Amino acid sequence: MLKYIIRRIIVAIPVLIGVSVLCFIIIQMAPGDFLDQLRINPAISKETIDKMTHQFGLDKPVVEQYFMWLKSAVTGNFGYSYSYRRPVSSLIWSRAYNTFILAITSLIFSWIIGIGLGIFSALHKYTAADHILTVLAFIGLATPAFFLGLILLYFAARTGTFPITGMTSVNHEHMTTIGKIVDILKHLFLPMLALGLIRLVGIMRQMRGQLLDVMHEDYVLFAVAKGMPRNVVIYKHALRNAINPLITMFGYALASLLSGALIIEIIFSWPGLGRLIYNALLEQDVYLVMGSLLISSAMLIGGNLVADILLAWADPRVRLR
Amino acid sequence: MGRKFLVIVFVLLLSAAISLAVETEYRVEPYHGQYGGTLINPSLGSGPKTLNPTVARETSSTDIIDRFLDFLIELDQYGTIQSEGRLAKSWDRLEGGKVWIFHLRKGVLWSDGVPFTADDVVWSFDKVWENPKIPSGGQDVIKDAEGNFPGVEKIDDYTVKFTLKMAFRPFLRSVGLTQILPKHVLAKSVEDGTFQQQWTVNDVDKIVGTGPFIPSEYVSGERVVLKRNPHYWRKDLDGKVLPYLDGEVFKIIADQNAILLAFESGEVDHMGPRSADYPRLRKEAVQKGFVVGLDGPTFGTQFFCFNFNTPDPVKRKWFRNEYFRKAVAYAFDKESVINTAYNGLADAQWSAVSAAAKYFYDPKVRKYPFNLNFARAMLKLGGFKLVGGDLVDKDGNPVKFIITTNSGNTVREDMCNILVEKLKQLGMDVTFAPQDFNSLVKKLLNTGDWEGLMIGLTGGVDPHSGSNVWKLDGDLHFWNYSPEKREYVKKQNDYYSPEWAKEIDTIYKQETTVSDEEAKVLFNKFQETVAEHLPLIYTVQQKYIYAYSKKVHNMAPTAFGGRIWNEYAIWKEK
Amino acid sequence: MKREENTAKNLEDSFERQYLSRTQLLLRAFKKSKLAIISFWVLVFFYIVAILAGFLSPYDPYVNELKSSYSPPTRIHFFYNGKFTAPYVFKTQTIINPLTYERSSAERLELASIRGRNNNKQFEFTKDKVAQIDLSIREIINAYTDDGKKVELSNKTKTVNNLLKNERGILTDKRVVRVYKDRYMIDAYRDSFDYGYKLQGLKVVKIVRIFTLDSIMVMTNDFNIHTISGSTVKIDNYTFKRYPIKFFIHSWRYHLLGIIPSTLHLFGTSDDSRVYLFGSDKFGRDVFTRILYGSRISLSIGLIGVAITFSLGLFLGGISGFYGGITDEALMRTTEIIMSIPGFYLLITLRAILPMDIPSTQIYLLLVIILSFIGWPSMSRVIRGMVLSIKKREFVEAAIALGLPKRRIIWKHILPNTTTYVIVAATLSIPGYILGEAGLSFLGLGIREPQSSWGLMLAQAQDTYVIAHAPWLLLPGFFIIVTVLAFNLLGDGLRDAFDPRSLGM
Repeated sequence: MLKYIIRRIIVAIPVLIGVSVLCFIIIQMAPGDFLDQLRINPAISKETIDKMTHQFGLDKPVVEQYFMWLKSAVTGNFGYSYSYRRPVSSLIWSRAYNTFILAITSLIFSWIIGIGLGIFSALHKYTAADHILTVLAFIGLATPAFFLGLILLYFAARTGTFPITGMTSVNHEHMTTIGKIVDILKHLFLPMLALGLIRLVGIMRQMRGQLLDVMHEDYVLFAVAKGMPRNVVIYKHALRNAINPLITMFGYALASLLSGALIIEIIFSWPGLGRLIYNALLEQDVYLVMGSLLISSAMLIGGNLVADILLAWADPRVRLR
Repeated sequence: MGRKFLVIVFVLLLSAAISLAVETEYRVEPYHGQYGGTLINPSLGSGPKTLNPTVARETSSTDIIDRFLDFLIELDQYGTIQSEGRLAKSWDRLEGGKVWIFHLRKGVLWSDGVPFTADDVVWSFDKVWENPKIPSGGQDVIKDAEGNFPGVEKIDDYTVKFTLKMAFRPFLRSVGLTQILPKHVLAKSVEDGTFQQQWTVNDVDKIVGTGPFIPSEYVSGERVVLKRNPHYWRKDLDGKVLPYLDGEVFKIIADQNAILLAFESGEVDHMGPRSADYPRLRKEAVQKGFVVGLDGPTFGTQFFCFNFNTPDPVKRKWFRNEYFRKAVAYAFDKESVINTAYNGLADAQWSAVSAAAKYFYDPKVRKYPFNLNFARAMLKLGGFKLVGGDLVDKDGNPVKFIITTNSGNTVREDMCNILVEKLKQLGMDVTFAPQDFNSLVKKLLNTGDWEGLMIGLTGGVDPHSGSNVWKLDGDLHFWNYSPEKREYVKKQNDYYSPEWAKEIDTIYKQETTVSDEEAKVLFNKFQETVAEHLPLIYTVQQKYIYAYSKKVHNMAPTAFGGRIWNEYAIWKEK
Repeated sequence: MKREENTAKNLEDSFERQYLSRTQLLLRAFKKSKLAIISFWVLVFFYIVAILAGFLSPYDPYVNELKSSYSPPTRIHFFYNGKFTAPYVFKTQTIINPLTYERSSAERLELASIRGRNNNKQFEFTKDKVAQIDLSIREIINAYTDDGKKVELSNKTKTVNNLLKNERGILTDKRVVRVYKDRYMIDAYRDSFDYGYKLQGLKVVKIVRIFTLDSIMVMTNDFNIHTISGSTVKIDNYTFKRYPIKFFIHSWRYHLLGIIPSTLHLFGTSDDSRVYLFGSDKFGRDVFTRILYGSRISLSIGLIGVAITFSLGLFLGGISGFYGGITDEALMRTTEIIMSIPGFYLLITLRAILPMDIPSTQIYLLLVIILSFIGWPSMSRVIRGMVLSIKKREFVEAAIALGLPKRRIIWKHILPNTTTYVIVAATLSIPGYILGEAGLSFLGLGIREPQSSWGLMLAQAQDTYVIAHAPWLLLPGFFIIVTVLAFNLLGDGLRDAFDPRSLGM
């Protein structure tokens, strides 16, 4: 098992280097650079701009710039952010952590609710409740993320039950540990809901379909025929087999959560990685973009690995090699 | 270790001794109030990037820097220089403006208790702002008309002398508004070349200033917390040492809609609403306890202009044709723009100087009220005629061009949209294609590959800030660069320099050496010349809107200082 | 999922199997899913509408009508003076209150004919004789303080050619009075630039606005102007101009199916009156028209995007799976790298670097290409896997043994076997493109004004002002939801239909 994990991590390294090369090429293709905002400022002379260009190494060849970055990435700095004037690594970890919290809670939320509703739907197949759930779930799927987010935001503002912006309260530092957790959960609720609702439907539909399929397998039919209690058949035998394909979905779910988080982060002012990338992109803060993209890619690869391990754990037929 | 400790004790004792010895010369402010409370400010966007004044370049950073760093002079809420300054109590202008002596406020302490002296001022200019290894926007501001830095010397602990190579009218405003940094904290970093890596957002615990609030906590992407500076140098009418507030918080909010909702639900204490939100807040004001109001225009200006050196020689001819530009000015439907893009909360602008710059603003310039018939008349005078509904020039070329603006700026896009439609009614074939800010800047400043443009520039109390824009060889004279400045103009071998442009150039060369009164006369002439010949066609200016909670007292919002310029005097009910 | 029904009809099925072709079987299986059938026809309807957008739109989607910004859906009248008539509208106008800056839209009633007496002299101007009727109205604004003092704030006349509905009284009573007692309006007067200085230091309890009719000016078709004094006139009868809704009228020019120039439209109104079925946007453009035009982009972006993604996926996946070796290795490593970057981040990174200074029609193409670029890696990996397994099947091995050219084997024998998967996957991935475009629009990276797309329109509606005062601008959201829903249900139905178990085989 450990061997497998180590092997996967080693395989991930060239992929991440590939990601960095690809990102660097893409970013270098963009017109203009970080200093463009200053160029149009009447108060700043061309000499000052030239000095800054030199200071940031923007006058060096592109290949050299890349290897400079790679060197600093190996030492753990991931380059230097122009606008923050700090190593990128010191900026992204806390943001990545926040995005991770948002993604993981909405993942758990959508899985618990999704699997629950999926089972319910499958067991009450073709009833009114099943149809209503299906329709609601599909509407959730069909709604653009930002639209759903804004509806929730307005709802929160109208009722005043949940805070609208950020991840913590202003006086967060002075709270007790339990108070801090409650504070974060309160702030987390709306963005988590927005992000979770979008993913919910996929899990629910998958669960429903899988369970229905498994229910027709011979061993289930046999168990029922033998007179085994319905609940035991469903929860002990059918469910365990039906859930496997969903675990495979886990890695992909993480990918889509990371992607979907950006818009939700902007709407709820959540201090996550997506907002950092987005702003860095707009400002052309090259290394900050690279660092953040790399971290999010690493999170994605990690998510896939976790999904594979989980699958091996849940399904004895799968062997990790 | 032991020795270090002794040194620290010694320094502390010394500073205590000095602070005891010198009585603080408090500046008395005309306020009453109560101690306590934390003011929560919204900060739009992604939050501060740095707290280092030589690095900061957007308001989310400078707003916070302004809280903890002071400068020598003091402005009132309309931007007028006051006789008693901040860190300088008074100053003398000698030798016709070539020598300035600043008398510093005595007994001012940095927030760590170390006394503030002339050494800090001399060091800040000599080693930071005038240091070629520390490039910053501020560096260009303090240079005189010929690009020289002023010389700085210390006379005694509380007197500093500035010597200039030439008289420079904007000197007091430029040097006087430059932040003074603590030498005892940062001197080492200048020597080892790491100055610009100091005072990043994560260094909040290292920051020392003379301002009313000092940063104490930074939560990435969420907020900056500032604490009251116990050593502040202002007092109120009752003799209470200011500031009143315990601290301030800047809450980072990514989106304007969210700021509005956060303000309505009490998560932030004040905001600058967009014009469309004004009626809504006005309606809620009584019930929810808001103060909502309007003020005059802001300092920035927005204008439409044509490229006199556009690649196509036929188009160049039109754009250089004054009647053509006047026709466009008459076709600019400002009232529709004001109603559509600004919900009625804007004013037409005709002058090159914002009406907010009260002293230098000239209201008597020529105006071009929306009138398509006047526009048609101007086109006729300019030699254009209509052929089957399409406008053609006197050589029969159909008038066809592209106008652009930076995409994402909805107000400018709205303005272009409205203008394009009116120009089409004049028979012009106009396309509107907004561009990315970055590629637009490149075309504007380097390649000259553009035709018509809607853009804005920041402005200030003194039109001197526009010298880079208006001088013929200015770096931002982008609509008509001189051949010396840009290769592409030289290649065209078709440089256009009309008399009036030279006149403006002369005005900008003269204004730095004369008195304010004489400069006012010169700038009036400048504004009238611009309005008459229209190199830039000015558009509209938004009215400044503010909204704050009734619990917050002593607020004095202005277009100049933002919603808060007197943060030391603000207090908040609990 | 429909299996028990199938087992019930098993006998019948085995009978039919011999007489039904595979297509017929598929169709039969598909028809069992009612939701999928409905979705299919909804989509067909949407696409037909999108193709005929020009003909169905009453107004040019790019022309502003600034007098009607944020106009709600126009009220269509079927009655005039209690009598049933053909549907008609009045002109509408958006007004910004100069005191409160509130925006409101109202019907402007223009006089079409007028009859009455002036100093006992009868006059009548009938509809066919009148060019325009102007009214000169005097407006007096008085403020009353708590000690009963009256302060005159304003006294001036204005000439108008239209009345608001609640001003109609001025024609019969020659006087309309409005009283404001609430603090909000009194404060608005106090804060205003024009009147504020007159109210300083006064405790105002009410503000009264009095409108009186000064005179009526009738311009007849022969350009004679008749002025009737407002103080002595007695109006017996008057009518307002009505603008009937006409069908199959000729107005603005468009290209039917993108080629045939035409000016014929399904419906519209005459002169510069407007009928907004779905209200208007900030620039007074017809939302109905813009939704129709936007549907062209939103509906086609998915189709074209999917076409590109799947051609790339099939081509590269096919090559990779069939040839193996270095080609396979290189392609798979590339897909791995692209798939390791979270899709939406890659999307905005790509969009941020690509030039914006191109016509908005080309931005559309650019978006499609970027969206496809994100999609092809996963597609080609799946195809590769399928090709690998199909390659081991006997018929392929036989084809190879026969010495058929490799290209022919890929195209004729291997790829056709992936069709079922491709059709289902394509249908289910179209919504991703539509939502992707909407997400980009939200970030300001999507389709550009003046072009419209559903995503852009919805993104522009994300504004506190719009949600509170112009909710009709959220309608594009409804269309996005319906379309995405329809594609999902259709895809589900197709998957069930293609499932061999449902075919009864």
